[in-house]
Amino acid sequence: MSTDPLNAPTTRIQLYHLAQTDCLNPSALDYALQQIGCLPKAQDWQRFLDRSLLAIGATLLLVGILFFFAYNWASMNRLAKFGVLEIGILSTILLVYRYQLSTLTGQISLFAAAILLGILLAVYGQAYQTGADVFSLFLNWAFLIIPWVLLGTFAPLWLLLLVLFNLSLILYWEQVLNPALQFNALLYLLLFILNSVALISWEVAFKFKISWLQQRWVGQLIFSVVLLVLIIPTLETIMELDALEENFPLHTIAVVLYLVTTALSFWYYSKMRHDLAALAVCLLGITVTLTTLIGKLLPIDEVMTWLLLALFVIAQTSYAANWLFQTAKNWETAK
Amino acid sequence: MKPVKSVTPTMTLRTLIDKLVAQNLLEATLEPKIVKTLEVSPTAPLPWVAKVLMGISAWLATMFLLIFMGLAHLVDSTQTAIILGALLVVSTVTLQRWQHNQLFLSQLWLALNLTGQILFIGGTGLETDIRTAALIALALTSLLIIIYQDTLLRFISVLIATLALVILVDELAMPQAIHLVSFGLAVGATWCWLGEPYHLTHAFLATLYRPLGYGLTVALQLLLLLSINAVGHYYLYSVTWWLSTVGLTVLLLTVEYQLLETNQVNLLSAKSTLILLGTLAVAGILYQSPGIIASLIITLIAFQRGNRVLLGLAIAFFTTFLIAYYYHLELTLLAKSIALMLGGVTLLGLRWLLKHTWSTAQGGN
Repeated sequence: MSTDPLNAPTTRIQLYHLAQTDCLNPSALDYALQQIGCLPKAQDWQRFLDRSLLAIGATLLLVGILFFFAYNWASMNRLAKFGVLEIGILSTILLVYRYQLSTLTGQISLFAAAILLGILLAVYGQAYQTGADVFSLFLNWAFLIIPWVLLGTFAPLWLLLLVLFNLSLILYWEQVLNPALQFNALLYLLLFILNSVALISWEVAFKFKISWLQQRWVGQLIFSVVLLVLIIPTLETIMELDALEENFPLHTIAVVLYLVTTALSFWYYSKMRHDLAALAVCLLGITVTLTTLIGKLLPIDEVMTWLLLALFVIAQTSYAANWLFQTAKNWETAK
Repeated sequence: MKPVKSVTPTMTLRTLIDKLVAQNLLEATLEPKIVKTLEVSPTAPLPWVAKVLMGISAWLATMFLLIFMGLAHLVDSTQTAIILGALLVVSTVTLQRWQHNQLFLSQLWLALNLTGQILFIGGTGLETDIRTAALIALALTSLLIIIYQDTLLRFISVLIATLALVILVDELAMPQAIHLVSFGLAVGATWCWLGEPYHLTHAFLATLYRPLGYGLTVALQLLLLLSINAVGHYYLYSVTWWLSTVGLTVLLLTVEYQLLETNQVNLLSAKSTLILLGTLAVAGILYQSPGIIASLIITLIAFQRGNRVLLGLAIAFFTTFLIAYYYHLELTLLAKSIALMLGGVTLLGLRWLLKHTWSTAQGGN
């Protein structure tokens, strides 16, 4: 491999460095950045404007419709409300048919249809006062859009389904089962199972290069939820170890799962699939849990504990930031 | 919504230099200097996720230090708070200049500095009044931004300075001055990001523009959340926020004008007219939502500079603003829904018109 720096692929950092050392003037820097694809060219702007106008426009329109039906306008009768929403769903489905699911317009139209369906279900509950629990609205909505999610090949639709299942589970827990607060560890474990299945499915799809599931932020978002639903019962265990009593086994399972998930994540995201953001989430989780544990266990007076905790937090994150920096550097070198 | 897709990662520096020379953007004689400069690999900056982690920990450590000082009775009067705060600020500024290469130490100085700032400003506020404390906070943070060479502290200082400005506006019973603050923040953020290639070639600004740019961006968006709910602030509650929308729309039009010019699009063409008129229409419809206009400005700047973090911030705030908009106290849900639906339809219509114009300009479908 050539050691001549001029024969290596150009990076943004190199160009910034050259600008800072007076080798490149501002015009040359921007031209160079554009040539290596870091700054947009005219055609990139065209695509960006097209996508942004579609995404922002559709979002504003959908949120507007949601607000409109939340207002529950008394002057508008039931029939008109159902009619407007059904025409809306039909129109968006016609748009899907017109533009096909291979285009962003088609995908966003299908997403809009899925949202409008949820609003229709809510308006139905509002109009007929069915008395059903709210969880059933989200659960029915989730089941009804499954065929669209499968057909849609669109990540936001897939995320919408996951959000609906999460909401259904949480609301079912609160409204139907309504157990005492200390049994919440079971809810967290159920949420962990649900989101882990979603995460593993996404990772498999990413590995097999399924084109519509290649956005890393989707995986990072689900991973953060997976870790969060384990961190909460872990913190509860640390803080209220003496008061857990019969609920102890569930909390123990949550703690063990948290440890195993964190260890597996470190291995997976640093060795198998490089993802710095996921590693940072792991490190933040460790900082929070370890600091809480040490704060609880330190056999010294309360005053000194706070001072030591401050130093401990700084030490942990300095090490974590340094480790992230080195890891990123190693990945760059290995490329 | 992805920043830039046409990446050419395999372009070597040699090819790039040839292109720059061919474009008369670089003198061929500079090649040896470039080689010499790149003999030592430039230090990669700390990843942004690491910086976020350090920012969170700095606040956490500051909180713990304050609790420690309170419990240890180190601060038993306002005078002690002022003296201890000043000592901490001055000593950390000195220590930071002397030793800032080690992450642990720079984090420690940062947490101690923030603790010192809180003690000093808080102590002054209790000793005098809120107005004086806000003025002192403004002066202190401005000074620290210049002399304290730490990205995180500079970023946090911008946020503290903005908070001090908002408190001053409220305290001085000049609620409409908030528009000057929002306009100033937006202009500052635009200057930081669009002027990036110029700042990079400037010795002092090269280290300053990024934390300043991120700080101003976040401060702007947080400030505009007040347009939805300013309960608890007697004077701010009476602000007519459409004035901020006017200022931000002027800035958005200026940014669009500059971007069109940079991309060599004729300003009198149908495309340019559509974009500028569409912007005016959307701003007119959403005149009570300056947060949406601000998000649009940040989105454009982020894409122009290929900055994914900035783009993520714009999307996050756009979403937050829309969710918070539901609780807008001055408007009924019906009024909000009509404004949003009209705004959405205008943007979708603008897209359709632009697509039509582009395909016509390119000679067909």
